[in-house]
Amino acid sequence: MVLFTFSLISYPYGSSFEFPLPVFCAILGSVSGILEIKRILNFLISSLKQSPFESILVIFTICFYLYSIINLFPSAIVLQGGIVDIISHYFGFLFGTVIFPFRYIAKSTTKLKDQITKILKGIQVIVPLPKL
Amino acid sequence: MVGLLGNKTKANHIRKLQKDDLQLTLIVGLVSITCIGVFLLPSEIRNILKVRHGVFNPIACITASFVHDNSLHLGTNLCAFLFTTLPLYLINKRINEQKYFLISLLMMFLVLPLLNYGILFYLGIYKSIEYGFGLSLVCSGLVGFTIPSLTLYFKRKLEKFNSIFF
Repeated sequence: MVLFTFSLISYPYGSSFEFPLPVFCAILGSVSGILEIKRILNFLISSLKQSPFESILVIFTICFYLYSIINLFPSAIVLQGGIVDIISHYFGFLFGTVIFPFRYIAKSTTKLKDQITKILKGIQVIVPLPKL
Repeated sequence: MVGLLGNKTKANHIRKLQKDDLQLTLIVGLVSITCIGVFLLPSEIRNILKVRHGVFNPIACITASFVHDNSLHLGTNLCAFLFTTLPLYLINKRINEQKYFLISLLMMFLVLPLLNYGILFYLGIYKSIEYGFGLSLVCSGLVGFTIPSLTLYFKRKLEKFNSIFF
């Protein structure tokens, strides 16, 4: 999905590169997609019977995502040279994608805190600290 | 006794979900009303709320997201905001990550504009444009957020699916 998005975003710049970057990204995205797409399609078909709302929601989100990618990075602005107009969009998109690891960092820090408290409790059992 | 405890935890879970739903409704409603309210203000006041090139004003960075100059800009941005926020919230709710989504949404309103306008305007990358404003920055953040949300959704769901079928 990320590679496919990059291919869509970099499409307007295709002519300015000697190497066709969008084609390269699209091929990589398709290859990695084919490896997973069978499982995802199986899942969506099976869940369409069980919970149609959920599958429709997912399909709608994917479609709207692709539509908004095209609208957020309009090739007309990029091709006319007004790239500054959409730098904020790139920045926002990057921020939205990068925000993901923060959740794992937060989770791992809470786990680490739990482990530290457990270790401290264990030490307290072995070596009882004097109460003040 | 066990049944009573189960009912209690269920009731707590439902209460928590309702609280999250209420928070999202509040955020979406507040954003929409603020955007429309700011649009109805005189252009002089709207210009004060925008981010200006070369001047780093943290409050203006946050208020700039709610400023729009024409109705088409406002309409498309609000529609995009609603069409990205609601499905993403529902997807995150299905995998019990609604709290993470709400925190991320708040970060997109408070941290993202500060970073974006701070870097682009203050460091002078954005020299050709005098003002910075619009909800499209938050919308693009939400579009970017679709990738981790769907990845997490498919990861969780496919794990369950594979354990049943394979």
